[in-house]
Amino acid sequence: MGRNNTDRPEEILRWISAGAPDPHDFGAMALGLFDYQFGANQSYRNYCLALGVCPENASHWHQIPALPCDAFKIPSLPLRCFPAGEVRQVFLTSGTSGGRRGRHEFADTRAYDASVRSGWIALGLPPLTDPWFLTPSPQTAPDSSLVHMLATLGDGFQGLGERWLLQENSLNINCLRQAADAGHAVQLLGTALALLEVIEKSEPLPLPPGSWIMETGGYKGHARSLDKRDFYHLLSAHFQVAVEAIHNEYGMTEISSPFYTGGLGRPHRGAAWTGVRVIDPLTGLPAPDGRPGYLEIVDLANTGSVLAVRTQDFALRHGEREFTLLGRDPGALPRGCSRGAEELLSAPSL
Amino acid sequence: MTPTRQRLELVAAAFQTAAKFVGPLDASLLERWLAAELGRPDALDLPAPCGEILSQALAPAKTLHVVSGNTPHAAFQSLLRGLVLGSANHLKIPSAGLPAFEDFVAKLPAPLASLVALARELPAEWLDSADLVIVFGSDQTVRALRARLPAATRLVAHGHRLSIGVVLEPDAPAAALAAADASEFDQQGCLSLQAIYVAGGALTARAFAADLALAMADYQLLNPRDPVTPSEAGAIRNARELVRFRAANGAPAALWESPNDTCWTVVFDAAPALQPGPLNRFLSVHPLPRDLADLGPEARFLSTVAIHPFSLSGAGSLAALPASRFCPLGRAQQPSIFWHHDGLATLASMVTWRDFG
Repeated sequence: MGRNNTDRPEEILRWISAGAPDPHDFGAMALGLFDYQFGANQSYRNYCLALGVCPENASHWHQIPALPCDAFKIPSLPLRCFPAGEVRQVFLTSGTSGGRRGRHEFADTRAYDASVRSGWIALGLPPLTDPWFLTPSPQTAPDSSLVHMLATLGDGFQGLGERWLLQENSLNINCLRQAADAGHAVQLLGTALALLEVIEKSEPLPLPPGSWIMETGGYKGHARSLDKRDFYHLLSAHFQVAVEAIHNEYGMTEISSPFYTGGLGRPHRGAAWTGVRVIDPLTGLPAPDGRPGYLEIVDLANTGSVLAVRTQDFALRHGEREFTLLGRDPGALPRGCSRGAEELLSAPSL
Repeated sequence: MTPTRQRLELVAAAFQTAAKFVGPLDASLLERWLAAELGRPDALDLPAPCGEILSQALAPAKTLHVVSGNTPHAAFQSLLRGLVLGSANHLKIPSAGLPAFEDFVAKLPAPLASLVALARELPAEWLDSADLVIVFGSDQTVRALRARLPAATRLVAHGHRLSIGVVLEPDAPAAALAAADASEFDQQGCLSLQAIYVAGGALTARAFAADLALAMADYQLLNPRDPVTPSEAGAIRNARELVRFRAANGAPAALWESPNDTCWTVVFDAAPALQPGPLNRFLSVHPLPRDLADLGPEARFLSTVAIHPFSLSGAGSLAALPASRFCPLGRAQQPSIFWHHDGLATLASMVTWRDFG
């Protein structure tokens, strides 16, 4: 569009990296990044134009159009602000729900990494002193955004290569057991599914005082249906950590910044470079705070793709960057015998 | 009067209030149905010649019906079949209940009421005691049920299916007929149209989609859609935005939608692949491909193909589609009582036979 805004991503990277940016700058920063992406991301620009929204008529970050996550699954319509030849990192969705995998492309992960590091501190998460990761290693899962995030957090720790406990699809928790035996606090970070597997397949593993757990990803697809409270009590009993010492990370392949909550009954919080909106699906308009709708995330660390993403999760909004997650699909009972899209997605093998 | 005829009189009287779900019927129609399925109206009452032997049809002593979706059509239709045969019927209905159906069962006359029991949670003894199990539900439900049944128990499974319209001549009435077939029961049934294929190429199909959008809006005015859940509305909005994204980027697609709500949606998509949609009056329009295999793997879940104008030769030209029913557009949701549900004879697939001689 000929605007002199090509340094916008660098400006945002500096803002995020500064440590504790002023949340009051968020709106202006978001509109600035929208201006940049409108010019640089052709697929997104065309969508915004179809909605009649452009930088000239968007005066508040709430007006920035959000793309559905499924838009990341169309290979012919890339969602990046740079040429294909500059792609250096690709994160893919897990693909467990059948069909194509979502694809998030990066020219570099500086903003992503800065967001992970700065967000951890800005949101007051406890420091990592001896972390163990219940996921594959970055070498075996190079396209997993979660593994990349954990590797970013674990960067610099001694013996990082040994800290990935999911190897060749089998759990190896002996290292963790040895670390726990040494008596100093450890941190266990991993997917909820893998944690459930540890609980089901191994003897109780009491972690030393001061230890904590971070779980993420949900456990859809697991044979057991479990609510969060029961899951946390299982974790607490198996690892001897208080429920309050269990953290949850909400993240997605299509966004760069994680949201966190701790214990039970508290909302997720995002850093100053994130914003959340909750949309009433019946009207398509923003739901009042505290009323359910689907969650849209505006993430300024998505500098090179699309800053606003519509998730398929339902949530309640509490202010600009906090929400209570309600889950994927409340009230999803099929009403009749019609074959709907959900069934196609849930079919185990098609 | 045979015992069967006496029962049919009772059944016909009882189902007068359920015509919305099973169509209009009387005892004579039920008798003709029985005769069409079993060869004669008294097949359940006495043996009759069958080649060089005599045969008599036996109703299953106990039929278990498992209805997993929470619209009542399948429950009404399956119970009608069980009562016509004189079977004792156990019906497992969804845990959220089926109010219209439960009211109907509560008002059955004593001789029929004694043949019907309902439960929202499936009692284990029903699985063991059933001679025949009829299940309506997803593949997952069918698989789970099959695994819990004794090996010798007969199972008739009606998995989830979808239906399409084929417009061979896009004349003025076609759009209204297609809108009615797609909108009635809010696309919740296996006979609900989810896609319309239009002969004559992409431009013709796109023009038909625009006509269909007007017809959907008209239908909504006269027959408002039932309320939908937030997740159902969210699925429609998600699907709409994906079409908008593709269309904005040059894909041969277009979107017509009800303003300010999700009451109806029409999508034109030049690609022929059949995809199940988010339901609740969300309809896609495609050009009819020369090679029907281009509809792709979802075609194997086809139930009904509603054709306009209907003719046997028109249906013959679509014989490569693996559908079990071809009907006139506008009639997709009203199958005859004589229809073969998912290609199966409804009563004949329930009975067994006892031979003499």
